[in-house]
Amino acid sequence: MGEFNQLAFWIIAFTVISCAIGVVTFKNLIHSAISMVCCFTGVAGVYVLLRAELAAAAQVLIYVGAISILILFAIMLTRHRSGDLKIFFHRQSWAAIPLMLLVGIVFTGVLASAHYMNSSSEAMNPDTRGIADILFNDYAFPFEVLSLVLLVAIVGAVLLASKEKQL
Amino acid sequence: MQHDLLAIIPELMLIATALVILLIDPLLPPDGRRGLGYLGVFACAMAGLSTWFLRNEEFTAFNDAISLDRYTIYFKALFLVIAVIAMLLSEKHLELHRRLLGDYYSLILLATVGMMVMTESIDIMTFFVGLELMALASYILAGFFRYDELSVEASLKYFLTGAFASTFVLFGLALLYGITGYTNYQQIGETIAAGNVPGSTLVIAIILVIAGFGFKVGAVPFHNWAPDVYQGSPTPVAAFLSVGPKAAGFAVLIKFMTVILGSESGTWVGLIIAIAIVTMLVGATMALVQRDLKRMLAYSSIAHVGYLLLAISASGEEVAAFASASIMFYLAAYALMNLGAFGVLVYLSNNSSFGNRLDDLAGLGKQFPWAAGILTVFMLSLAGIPPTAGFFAKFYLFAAVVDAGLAWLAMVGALFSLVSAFYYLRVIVYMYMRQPEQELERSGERSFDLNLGLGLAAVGVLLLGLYPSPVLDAAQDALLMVLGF
Amino acid sequence: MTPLQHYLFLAVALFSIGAWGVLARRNIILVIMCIELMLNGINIALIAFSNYSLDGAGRGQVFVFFIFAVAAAEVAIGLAITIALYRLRERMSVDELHEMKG
Repeated sequence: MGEFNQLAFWIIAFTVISCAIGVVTFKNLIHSAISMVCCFTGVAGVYVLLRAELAAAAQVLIYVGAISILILFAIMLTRHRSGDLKIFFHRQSWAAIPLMLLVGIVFTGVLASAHYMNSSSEAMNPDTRGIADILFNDYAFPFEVLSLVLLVAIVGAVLLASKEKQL
Repeated sequence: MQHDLLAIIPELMLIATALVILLIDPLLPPDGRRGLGYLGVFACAMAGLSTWFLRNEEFTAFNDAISLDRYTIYFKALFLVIAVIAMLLSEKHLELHRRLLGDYYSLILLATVGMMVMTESIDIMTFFVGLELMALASYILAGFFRYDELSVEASLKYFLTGAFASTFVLFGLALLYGITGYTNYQQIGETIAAGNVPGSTLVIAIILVIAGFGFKVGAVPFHNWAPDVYQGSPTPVAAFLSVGPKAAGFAVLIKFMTVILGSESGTWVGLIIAIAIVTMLVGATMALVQRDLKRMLAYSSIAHVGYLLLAISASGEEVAAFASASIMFYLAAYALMNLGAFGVLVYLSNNSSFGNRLDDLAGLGKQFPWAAGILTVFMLSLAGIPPTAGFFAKFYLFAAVVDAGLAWLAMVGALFSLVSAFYYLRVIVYMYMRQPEQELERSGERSFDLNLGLGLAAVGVLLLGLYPSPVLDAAQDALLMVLGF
Repeated sequence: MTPLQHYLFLAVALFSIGAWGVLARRNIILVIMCIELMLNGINIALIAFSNYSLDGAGRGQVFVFFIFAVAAAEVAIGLAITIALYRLRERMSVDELHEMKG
């Protein structure tokens, strides 16, 4: 079981990382988006390996479902004769690769060498009932505030993207 | 249960009003929408009243998600003042740009709620949700003039940098949770102080959190978005964005640095000092070369962030209470004078062909004597010249830094403050001593709201300058009660 | 069991690749996608920590649900802003065409 788990992890990790690199490097936006969908699905697999089935299901519903579709729609809606929408502010893009490589290596080194005192080797993620207990008891307040965040998102999306006439 | 709701009465008032405004806005005829702003102001006034009744309460609510105490009450009151003045400044401007919609006031109120939630949070999840509520509302507000390309570009730039910065804060918070196993500030702080955490991971978490906050408050090297966003977004929104999110960011930063990372001050003080010096340097020098007033105010606000960071570094020393109190006072003074300075720009662009350029100011002293006079007050205050609020704010701030044994740092700050006085005074010189090549065309009409907002800010700046002790005492009381100094 | 460190490696890799994309690419929608990659990296780290933590088990997973919701809201706003900008640009280019035709 343990070996299967390890093997599955490395296969999924390889897929996720290569898909993520694909998102950044593909020239065609649609290819990037599809690569992103694969990456998100792989991340759901990682959650399953971590015994977080609810999070895996939510990942599929929200990221693979909603967010990806939203992004694909936006890509379709903003196809422009003169090419894709570009960011108008200048960036030093050549510095990004070495910088991020450095950051990645340093972070990995530090996190991998750290000894986590309070960690156990047993799987501890609670089941759905346990999650609900935590979410609706301890974190009821931020959960309610979250509804305001979604309200703001609705208002903002309507305000910015609707086709209403100027007053 | 009743007790829990008591802690969020001001928020509940603002949320209810925001919802009511959203509901009745479509039912109103276009010119009936003017009343919505007053509704928002009224809600803020009521919420302010409720903070007054809550001022002696001290408890945690919702299973340690938030706490109510003098510290949060102080900041809630400050956010309400900011929201009121911002709403008063907006109405005429929105009407002239044909964007007078109730959504605007709802978003300002909800952003204010977000700031309050951030400040009162004692749990990283509550903090994160509050931060995002404030941030999302601000992105939309920046792009509120959606038929103006500059405004939408400002909104996009704000969104991209803001979302990018959020991921850094979030990763830092995730690591803090990972190494301690807690999400409560106090518990995280105690676990870190007990020394049972991997030190190198902690350092990375600290760097990530500081970088994320640096983005949010506009500290160098993460400041590039600020000038573009302030220049592009509608001027009243720029006024709100240049003070509200910053005050909230610093309110949380003080909590973070003392409650969570207080035992690790050796790690972060040096980093904060370095960021503070570079921030003051860039803010002061770049403001010198700006010809656009909104960009100049943006760089000036970056310089002010630098001074505030100086005091944050001082709060790592023994005199933390004094330093934090000076930050709280400074934020109040800064909020009033910056809102006022932007407000005068709103006034001028409402009433004339004023284009926010420095050259447009020439001859203003004759043409718009009242506006020029008020702008002079705000500029003197921003420069830190007595008898204005800016002077005392800077005085206490640098005094706190000196008390912390960082006298050389206070010297550096005073030096940059001297440089910055040049570009503030230049505004006054342009207004009174320069002949205009072409007079501004008068247009538009007077607005009682705008005048009231400007008056409030100006009176506040002068009052805080002449009689600062009530606010300063409130800040010090707040810290004595809360952070346990 | 896969050790915690392996999951953290994956999390950091995803975070850094996303950050690289944000800094290197200039297409707005792609940048938004890369920010989502970074958030996914953070989520992996949180769920891994949550799984291996003695005291705080499950809290990390709850945090992830908050991030899901906020990320969805953020994407909605980001794309709305993008579309608003696109409409302006499109209208402008159409106007330019009209001008050229006289």
